[in-house]
Amino acid sequence: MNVLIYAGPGPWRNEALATAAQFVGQIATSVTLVTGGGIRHTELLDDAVARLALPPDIVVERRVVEGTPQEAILAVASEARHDLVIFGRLQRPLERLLPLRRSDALTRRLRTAVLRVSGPARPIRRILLASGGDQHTFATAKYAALLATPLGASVTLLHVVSQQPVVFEALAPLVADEAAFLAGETPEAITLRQAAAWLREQSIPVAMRVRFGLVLDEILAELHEGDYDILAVGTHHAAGPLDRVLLEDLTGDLLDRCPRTVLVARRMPHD
Amino acid sequence: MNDDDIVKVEAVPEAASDVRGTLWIPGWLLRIASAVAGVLIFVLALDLLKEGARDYGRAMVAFFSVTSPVSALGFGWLLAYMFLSGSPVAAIAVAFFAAGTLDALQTFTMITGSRLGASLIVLGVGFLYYLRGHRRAASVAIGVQALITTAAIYLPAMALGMWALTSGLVQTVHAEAEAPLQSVFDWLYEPVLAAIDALGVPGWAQFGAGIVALLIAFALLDRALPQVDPESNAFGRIGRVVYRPMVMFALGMAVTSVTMSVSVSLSILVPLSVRGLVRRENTLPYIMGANITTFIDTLVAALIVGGAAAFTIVLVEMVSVAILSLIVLLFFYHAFERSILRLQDAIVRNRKTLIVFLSVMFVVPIVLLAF
Repeated sequence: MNVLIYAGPGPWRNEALATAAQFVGQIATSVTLVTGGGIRHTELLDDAVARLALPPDIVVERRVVEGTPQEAILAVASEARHDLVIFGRLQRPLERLLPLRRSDALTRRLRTAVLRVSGPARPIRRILLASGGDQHTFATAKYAALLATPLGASVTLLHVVSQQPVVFEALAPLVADEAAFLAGETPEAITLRQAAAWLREQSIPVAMRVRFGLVLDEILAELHEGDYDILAVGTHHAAGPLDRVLLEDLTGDLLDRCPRTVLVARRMPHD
Repeated sequence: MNDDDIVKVEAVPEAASDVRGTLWIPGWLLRIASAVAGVLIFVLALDLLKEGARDYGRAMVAFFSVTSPVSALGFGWLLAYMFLSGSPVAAIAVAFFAAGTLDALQTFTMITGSRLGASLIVLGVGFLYYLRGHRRAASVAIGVQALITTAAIYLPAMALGMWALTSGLVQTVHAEAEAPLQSVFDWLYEPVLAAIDALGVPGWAQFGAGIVALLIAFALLDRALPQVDPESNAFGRIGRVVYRPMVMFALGMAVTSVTMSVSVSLSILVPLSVRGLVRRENTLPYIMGANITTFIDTLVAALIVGGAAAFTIVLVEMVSVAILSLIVLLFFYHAFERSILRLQDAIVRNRKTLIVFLSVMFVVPIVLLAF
């Protein structure tokens, strides 16, 4: 697995390196360390190598690029195929209030999975996988498994039901309690069960949760109540330009509002 | 033309061996005919209401003690319960204004009341299902959502509108289309109204006939609605994905500018939804948008029977609701959404809270009448 890590200056640099150090040595075959801002930040790359404590068999490449962190990451990511890009949150707290400084701008432009580190570095023990109940869940589960397996972390599959009947006699009953929903035959419940079964096959401890309410609020509430270390989500599934105008970007919203590290999974090339 | 565009009007074989020809009328033609008939009856209804309101309206307003904007709010609210719709009540308010029965502020608040009452109807029908054994609280959730969303926007909008009307801010607004619209309809309806006058039909009968005609007109206009094809529709995933609030807001406005009824607009979501379910994130801004363009028929009614002054009153209502809605959408949407949906959950939590809420909704307009 080829991993790109932004090791240059940034508000969450230390946390990003501490988080990456937990698993990169076990999953990567090559690591590309990147910094923006030119050669004056070269020593930050050496510092990152020391902090990551990578095994000697992993190929390490150091890249110094002029420009902002975002420009540096995009430039290096476009040169070769990477499976995972890791960086700390690049916005400062006050910048998040500006509507045009969305956290997902970089994530959206990258063609790979992203681990956006935010909040204090903590051992990765519990991963919350937010599932829309569709086939994209499996791609997210594969990336969650990549992190969970070497770390012995557990994965909780979460699905949020925000639907309500439009008319008083819905064509199919809306199951309003968690156990009944998970045991049901809705496409979402079947997907959750299949994803859970696949994760168990990887020897990963799995739990399933269903919450009822607004998608964003319920995901963040579960993240807080369950004290999870990482939130794993899929990418925004806009199929075309019209979708980009019409659909709410829930992944982007989560990146904006989530106080913890977020793993944004993409379908792997061999999927 | 495909099969969906054809409405089967008559196919009654008298015997199995004697199958007669079947008369097919294209669906689009039937819809156009319904629309034209609906508009013509709508205008006639407004004229009848206006004539009837001159005598009967005063008696009605006196009977219900409508003496202030607050009591007019309660009056419109209660009437909407009686008519199971807000649009006829708003049209009646405009007719009352045109007949000099209500003043501008009373007309304004009566129209607001009609919308609040209309929102409860969605919930009321759901509650009947609920009491008949369909115990899922979720079955009435959208009705509760429609009502509290409407109240949350309309009540502050009412304050804004009242300020605009009393401060003189809106005196510069005039309806340019008044004269041509009236002249078109005058030649058509004057002979009918003259004949009714010649027959000596009392005011209350004209008023009653106006209400019946109004309800027929709305029923015909409902039949004129185009069919929704979920397969070739950008909103065909309304039950699965979350659309941007502004997009759903615009959709609610667009759909209701055709249906003119929030409850009809909500039912139009059914073919777009998965298993009759739609995401809450999508319905809230949709209702907000629908709550603005639901005034279009009242705006037309005001233009026809009340002239520029009545038009201005309805326009102020519409603009006030639009301003409040846009402020919420642009600046406080997530807090608003969370508050509305939490309140909705609290109300539909169990039968007791739902009954208490419904009782309050019935008592409040009655109490308002006392002011």
